[in-house]
Amino acid sequence: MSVGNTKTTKLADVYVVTSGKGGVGKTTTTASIGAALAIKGKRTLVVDADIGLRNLDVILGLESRVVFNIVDVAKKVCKPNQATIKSKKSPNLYLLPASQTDDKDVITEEEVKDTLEWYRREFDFILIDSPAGIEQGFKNACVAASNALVVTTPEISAIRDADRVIGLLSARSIEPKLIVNRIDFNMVRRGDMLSVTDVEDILGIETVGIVERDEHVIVSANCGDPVVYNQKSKAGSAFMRIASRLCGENIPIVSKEKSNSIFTKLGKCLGF
Amino acid sequence: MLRVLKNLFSKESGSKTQAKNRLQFVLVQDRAGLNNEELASFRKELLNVIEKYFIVKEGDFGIDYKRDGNTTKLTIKSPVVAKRTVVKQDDKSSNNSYSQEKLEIRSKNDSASSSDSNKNENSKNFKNKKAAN
Repeated sequence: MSVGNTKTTKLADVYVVTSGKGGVGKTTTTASIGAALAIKGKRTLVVDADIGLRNLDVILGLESRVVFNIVDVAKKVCKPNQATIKSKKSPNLYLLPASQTDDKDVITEEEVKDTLEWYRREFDFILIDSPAGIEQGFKNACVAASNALVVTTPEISAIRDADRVIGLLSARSIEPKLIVNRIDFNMVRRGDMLSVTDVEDILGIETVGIVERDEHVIVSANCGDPVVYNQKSKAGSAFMRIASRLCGENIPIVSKEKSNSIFTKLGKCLGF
Repeated sequence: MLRVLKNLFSKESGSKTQAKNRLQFVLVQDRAGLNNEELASFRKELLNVIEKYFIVKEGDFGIDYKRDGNTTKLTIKSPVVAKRTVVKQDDKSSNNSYSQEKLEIRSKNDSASSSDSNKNENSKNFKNKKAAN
């Protein structure tokens, strides 16, 4: 496989990106962090584990290049390097697509584990985009991972499902890290949205990133360009920061949820 | 005056408090595997025990069931308004065996920080409760 940077001898760190609830931004998160890691020079493979409902290919703008998929690799229809697709934007980013015509239980946990073992020698990071739910598809997505990113939005249903998933990951001895996605700080200040502190308090796991609600995410998805390439995008910079944290850089998490209402400012002036 | 205005526009007036309380309730059920009925009676019995010794703000009474590494931690939050001068009599003898779970009672004395209107509300609640008893 011809890849941009040379890989160190270390095996790839494998992350599963999961949430329980659907529609909270798992695929966008996987694509964005994957692209961000690639920008940082890390050889990165993003794996679509959502068999039957694949989408990571369209988010990355690679849908027209899919030939083989993860099921073909698992069933030895093709070689592992034949199924990966190089990103148009970065020589460090590859996609292993899901099959669109099979069921989630077409491959076993054992087959997934064996399949990903080969890629671990080729990459620095492997991010697995898990399907929603906690059934076989989720189990397959988790089996090869030793790290997890749990994506949630500050909504009651997403948090409840995230809690369930955190419990299941803990049972597999995986300590997940939290990404709070689509937060709206105006709503938080108004008291109409749970704050990052509230979500952390409820879920009791460490946060690795906060991503603001940002229209650029939809525009990027429309064009098949990961949002991290958009310099103006707040979400893009948030995903870049998460990637840096995954590389071990110490970047403080800044939350703009403190109230800046006129009353607070006045209060501060008057010493309240 | 400023504080009154601030309270009017503060976080407490938003819907997030409701979301947080509802979430905490539903997560105790999910995590502990208690059904609605069991949780409600657990809450009621706990509150009865605490009310024997303290006057509490019932609206802020909360139970939390959290993972903490390999163990689970049961936390009872019970904002205390005051200690009762006379211990409230209970018909049933209280059972003090709380299994292996760690029981923490975080008491927060709100009376020092609460505004006058809050205090009035507390005593009103207390009167209502007394009437109900």
